Amino acid sequence: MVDRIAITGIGVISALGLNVEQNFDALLKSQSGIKAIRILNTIHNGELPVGEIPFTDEELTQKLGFTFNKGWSRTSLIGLLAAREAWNQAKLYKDYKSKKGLVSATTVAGMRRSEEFYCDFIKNGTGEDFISTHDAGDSTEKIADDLGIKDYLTTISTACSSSTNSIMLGARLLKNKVLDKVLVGGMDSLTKFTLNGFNSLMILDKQNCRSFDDNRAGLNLGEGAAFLVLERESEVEDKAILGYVAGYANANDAYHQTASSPEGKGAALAMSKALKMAKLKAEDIDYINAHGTATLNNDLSEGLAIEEVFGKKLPKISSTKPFTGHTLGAAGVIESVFSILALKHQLIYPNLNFKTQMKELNFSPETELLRNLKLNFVLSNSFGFGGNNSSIIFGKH
Amino acid sequence: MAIYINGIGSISPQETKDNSTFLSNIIEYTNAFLPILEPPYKEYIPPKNLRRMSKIIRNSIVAAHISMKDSNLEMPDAIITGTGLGCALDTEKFLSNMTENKETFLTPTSFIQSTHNTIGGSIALGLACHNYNMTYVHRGFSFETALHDAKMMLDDGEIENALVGGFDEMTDKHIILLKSIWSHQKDGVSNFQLRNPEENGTIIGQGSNFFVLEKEKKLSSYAKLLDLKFFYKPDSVIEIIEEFLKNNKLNTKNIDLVIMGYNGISSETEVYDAVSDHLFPKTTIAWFKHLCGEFYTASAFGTWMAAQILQKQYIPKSVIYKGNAPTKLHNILLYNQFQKNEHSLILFSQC
Repeated sequence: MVDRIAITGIGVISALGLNVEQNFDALLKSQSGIKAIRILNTIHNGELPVGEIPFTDEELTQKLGFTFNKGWSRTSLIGLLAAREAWNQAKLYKDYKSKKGLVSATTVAGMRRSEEFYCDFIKNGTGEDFISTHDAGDSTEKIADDLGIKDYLTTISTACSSSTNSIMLGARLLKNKVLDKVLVGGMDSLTKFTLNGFNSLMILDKQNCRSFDDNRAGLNLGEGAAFLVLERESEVEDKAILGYVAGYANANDAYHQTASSPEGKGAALAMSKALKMAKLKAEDIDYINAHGTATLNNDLSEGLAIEEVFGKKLPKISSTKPFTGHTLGAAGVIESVFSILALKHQLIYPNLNFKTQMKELNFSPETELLRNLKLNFVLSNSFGFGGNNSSIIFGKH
Repeated sequence: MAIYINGIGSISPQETKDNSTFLSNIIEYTNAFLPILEPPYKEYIPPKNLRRMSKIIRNSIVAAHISMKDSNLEMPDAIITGTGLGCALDTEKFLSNMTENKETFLTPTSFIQSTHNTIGGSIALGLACHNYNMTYVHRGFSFETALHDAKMMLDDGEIENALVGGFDEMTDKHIILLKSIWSHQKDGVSNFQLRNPEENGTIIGQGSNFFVLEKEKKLSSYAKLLDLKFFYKPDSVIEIIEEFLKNNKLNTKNIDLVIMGYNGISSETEVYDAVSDHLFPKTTIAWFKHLCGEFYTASAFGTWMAAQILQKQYIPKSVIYKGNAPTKLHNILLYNQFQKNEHSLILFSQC
């Protein structure tokens, strides 16, 4: 029998809350975390709403039990909070015998500190403290050191599909017996760099984002982190299994550096290859947690790709981006946590702010919280710049 | 199951773009920072595409192109890249513009090209390749994870071939950053002096090194990739190397050449020397960072060198660190470390 990839720990931090419980509670109450900017120091304050974690770096430092945060980027602070939650749930703090690894993901890395200090340093040579936190490997090593992970660590950066790809590599490492337990996920903090970058692309909505709505006008940026603990099912012992990684695939759209192809070729490929790997038919999927960023381009191309793969009998669909904002490298794994919770509690989250069906599509997303469903499999999509498209399927325990 | 390196492509501070030659003319530099020898881009990339590409995108596309042509591979089953910094120049450009213009009047080009996966995406775009596409960005493990991921997928039978690359660029500004946290040589010192430097420190380098890995042996095959392992903050490097060789049914005497990442930083030299003294006292030791400089994905240049040595069955004098050129060249071990935290072992053998 195939030794399935079991999920035994989850942790998440986002604009919805500091842990799984707070995030799930906000999802059940249809409370969006997207609000006016409070903490990020930018001229766009008051103009662009974001999904911001409502705590300063100092407050996050305190929550970690540290007395100071020298050499810690915001990305690492939120990453460690989510990583500890997942690690703790999987009871790995006292596991000294297993081979343990960490596959993390980030796109902005330590940019939040670099953008404060970089130019001053180049000009005056002051504030060099940010240099060690500038690159993408820093946050991964900070987490590995805190949790005592040494056997394998690496970091992925494939734009907005980054952390879905980290789940994929983690599963591969377990299947190949490179590791016994692996913490997979990712993190990204809000930065002026990304806010201004997306703003220069003119794809940020000044209102709360409206995924799959005919009048959608762009995305809202968010920040957050999430991690899963994966193990081979045969070695879980007496721990509770939260769900399974049933299938996954990564494909490239190869259409444009930032835009998706109009027909969503890469997206359709990722979804159908994931189904094939999971040995499932399209009708076996009960819910799609869509990438659904609310840009004109993504929702059209993803919507058409979903119609192509799933035909006329579509599963229920919603995007949780209107709750959290687009958390970039963390989005895939945050939405994976939401998908696992949907399976565990047999419910589907509403696609907030939706009013009008898109002219080009034959479906509308779910707009109410749906409970008491029978969900066996959930598919989650994450698509990014560079044509990097990934889909992952979770199965119920 | 064997994995073959069937194509290589290197754009580096040395004359490496022509695979029929192998370090026949070594270039000496006297800066603590080695530039790239730029290839004639127009021979590889259409001029209309060239215009918007930064140098690292150009160099990486050229290196990828050379390696694919070398092995006659037209469409890879996977494109897997590793980079410590990604497109550093575009990142800096957007960051500086944003800061100087106080978040106003920004254009998106450098933002779009700043992401780490720009190059993996650009290669896919150029080839219209819809297959697996991944980018690893972990300091001294960036290239290693790319290689490892490709190896697992080839072993699993998920793919038949993979294009794997490691690349990093150094910018004037990034060098200012690195010089403040790395021990480095002063300008004016020759890269050949890095072996016994008067001062403790390295020279900063860069490069794009790509490889085609396939399950099938070809006329173009350079070497077999037997195994690799990377490890973080190890307690005992020596024990790990012994165990790694044992897992591959080898012992230290079966290794004909060890290539090590000597870089002029004395605390790292001590680790390499200890490995050399304890495990390989009679084995020939080679090095490469005097040619390519130190950077996050320098081990990809080391891999290029191992592949060339095994195919050509020849070790250029300029890369021998200790001992004489061995009479047989069957197994090569590459041992690299980065800032003492990330260590990696890559094992190659003759085809």
